[in-house]
Amino acid sequence: MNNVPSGLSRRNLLKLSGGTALATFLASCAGGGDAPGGNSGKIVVWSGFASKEAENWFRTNTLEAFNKEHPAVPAELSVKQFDNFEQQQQTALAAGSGPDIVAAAGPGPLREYAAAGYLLPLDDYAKKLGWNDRILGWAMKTGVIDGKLVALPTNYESMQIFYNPATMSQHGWTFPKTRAEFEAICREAKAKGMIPVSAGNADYKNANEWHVSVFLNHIAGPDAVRQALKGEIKFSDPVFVDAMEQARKYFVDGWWGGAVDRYFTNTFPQQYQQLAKGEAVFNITGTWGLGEIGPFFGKEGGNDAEWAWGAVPSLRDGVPEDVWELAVGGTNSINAKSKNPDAAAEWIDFNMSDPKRQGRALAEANEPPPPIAMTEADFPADLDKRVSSLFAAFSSATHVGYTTWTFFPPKTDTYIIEGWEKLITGKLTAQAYCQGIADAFGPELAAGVVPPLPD
Amino acid sequence: MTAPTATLPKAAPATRPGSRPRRRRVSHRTRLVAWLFMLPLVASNVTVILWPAVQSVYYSFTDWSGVGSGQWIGFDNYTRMLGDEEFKSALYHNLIWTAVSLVVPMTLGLFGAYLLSRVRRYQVLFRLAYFIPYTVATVVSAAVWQTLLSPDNGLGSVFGVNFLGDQDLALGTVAMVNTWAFWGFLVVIFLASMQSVNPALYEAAALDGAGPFRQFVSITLPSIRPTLVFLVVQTIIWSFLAFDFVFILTQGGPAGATDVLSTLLYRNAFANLEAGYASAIGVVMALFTAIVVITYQVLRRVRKWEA
Repeated sequence: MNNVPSGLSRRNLLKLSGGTALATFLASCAGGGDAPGGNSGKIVVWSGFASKEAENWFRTNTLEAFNKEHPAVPAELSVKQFDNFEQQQQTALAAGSGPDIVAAAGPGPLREYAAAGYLLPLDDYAKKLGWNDRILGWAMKTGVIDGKLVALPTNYESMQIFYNPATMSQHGWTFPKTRAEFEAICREAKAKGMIPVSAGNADYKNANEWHVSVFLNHIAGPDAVRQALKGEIKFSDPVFVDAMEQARKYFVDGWWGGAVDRYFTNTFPQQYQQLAKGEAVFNITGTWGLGEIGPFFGKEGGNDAEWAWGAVPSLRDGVPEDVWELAVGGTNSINAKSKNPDAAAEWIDFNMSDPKRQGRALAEANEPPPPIAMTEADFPADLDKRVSSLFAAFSSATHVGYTTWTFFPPKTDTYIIEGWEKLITGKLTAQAYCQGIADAFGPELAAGVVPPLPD
Repeated sequence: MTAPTATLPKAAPATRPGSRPRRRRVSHRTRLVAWLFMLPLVASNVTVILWPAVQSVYYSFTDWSGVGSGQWIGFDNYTRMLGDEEFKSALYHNLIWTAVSLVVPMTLGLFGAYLLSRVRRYQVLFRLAYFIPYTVATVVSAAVWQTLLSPDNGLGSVFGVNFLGDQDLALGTVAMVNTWAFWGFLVVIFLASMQSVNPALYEAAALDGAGPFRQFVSITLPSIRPTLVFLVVQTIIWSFLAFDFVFILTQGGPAGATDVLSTLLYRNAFANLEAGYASAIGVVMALFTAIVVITYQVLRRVRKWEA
């Protein structure tokens, strides 16, 4: 049994085994066949999709449309798991591989990627393709690291309140514009056994930061947040401590989610259902909610309820009424190892152009538009007016706020998410929570990893 | 005494001249071929297990963010761990998890297997029924339990408690769900081991008047001791690696009440971009496992458990 088969000498066997081992090793190191530029003559795009419909829409309206316009260097889609897309990409980049287009869920990891040399500077492409004229200034700035443009935002987001107009009129309420009006409705709703604000993080723990972002910008105020992000004041200052204490009370009083423990087990579908059934009055979420809320209302939801949106009111005297938080929900960069960077830049450009196509993406696939100048005429006529009016409202915002996932550095952001649960469960006081934010933020500010702020 | 020996004629060789070197060559060749056949597997293991493990140890001494390269910072990550309340809390939760896993599923598994070993009809059916939860994808099991435990229309509403939302109940609840998925596996392994016990021992014990419990304690348990000890060791190791049910059901919440070392590691690596610190946590987890395995091996030798 120990015989080497005739015709396969020991030397050859050794070569074969060694070759196999080497091939295995190299294959493992290469991380698959998606090496940038390894497939010369095309660019590789990785993407994760929340649904098959979204993937199909992307293939037809983005991928095929791009390839039709750019047949010389077409794009090839590699579908990745939606939930851990960035982890896969991070691993591939570390192995010197990955797609030609480096996508991120926001500006958070850009500094690390840029420092590691993963990203190609885009300044020349910006000039050549006219991005500076087309893309909104504040959004463009989020992709600038150490004076170099390394990423372009793919979409922008904000926070708003969803409500059921029938519930409001049934109880004689009108949509609140001030803290007093908002709190009066919450108090009354709670007394009636309703849930003032349907909320929960069972599906997504980071939903904590949506609420913290709202509290920071609508209680402490955007000016205070901006000053703190620039290091002019501290996150442990009374303006933030008071804001977090006020927010903590909202939770402890059961205004958010019905009760603190329920907040941890409420799912997103549950929250929309509570709104549709008239069990909850408000739901505070981001513009991504426009793509989620529909199936729970009207014919699709098996009821005759309707939804509407309103701006989050000022929750403290002195804070403007029309503050819209700004957020970048995704960025695109070019892999420094791409062998087709020009084609990759064309891909990015394609996704930032043709406002009518972007308007259609919003109408047909709930894809939020990129931060480019868009007019009412760019949105298709059949687009739900509630959707277009929401985007129009915050596109023309006079006061902007700062979301934690776009403008806060990573460790501070994680602390905000984790510490928030300790605040509302009584493990931390508002003072201690804010001190924790300040302690996390200080070193990151000193290290220069705070994302740039819009002018 | 040496002279006669010296003068004795040399014993005739057992085989013809030259055979011994040849046998050594064959043996050498056998080993070489065996190793060559194993080489691809060894290479892949070195590539995907050993090398990343060595790298993890290295990175645990750096401030690596998970991207690019890191700076050597010596034992800073380890000293930081000593003062990290989140680490201490996660470790404490892992110890509770281990204790629960060693008591509840082990006890259920042992008694389940013992009772099943007494069943003659439909044993396969029962075995299958117990084993099914172990084969169901964790995501599916978690979704089922989330619905079952719901405080709105599940068991939570019946008992008036929020199993996964209450800080005091969440860890125990997730461990219970894990037990549900896990104990059937133990039943099958214990049952296989129990079936190898000599039936004559039970017959003799029965003649001596020993009841089922006495037989279980005095015959079954000593007879399956190697399996039992092995599963205890495995359970401890698995307990320190607990991740999936925690991550899906509670994401470490509420307020860190179910955070375990692996969720803490994940958060540090991918949310905080502190892969160096996460590596240090991973190394500590591996050390705990190593201690358990070494203790097991020492006890095995000293107590001659498998002799």
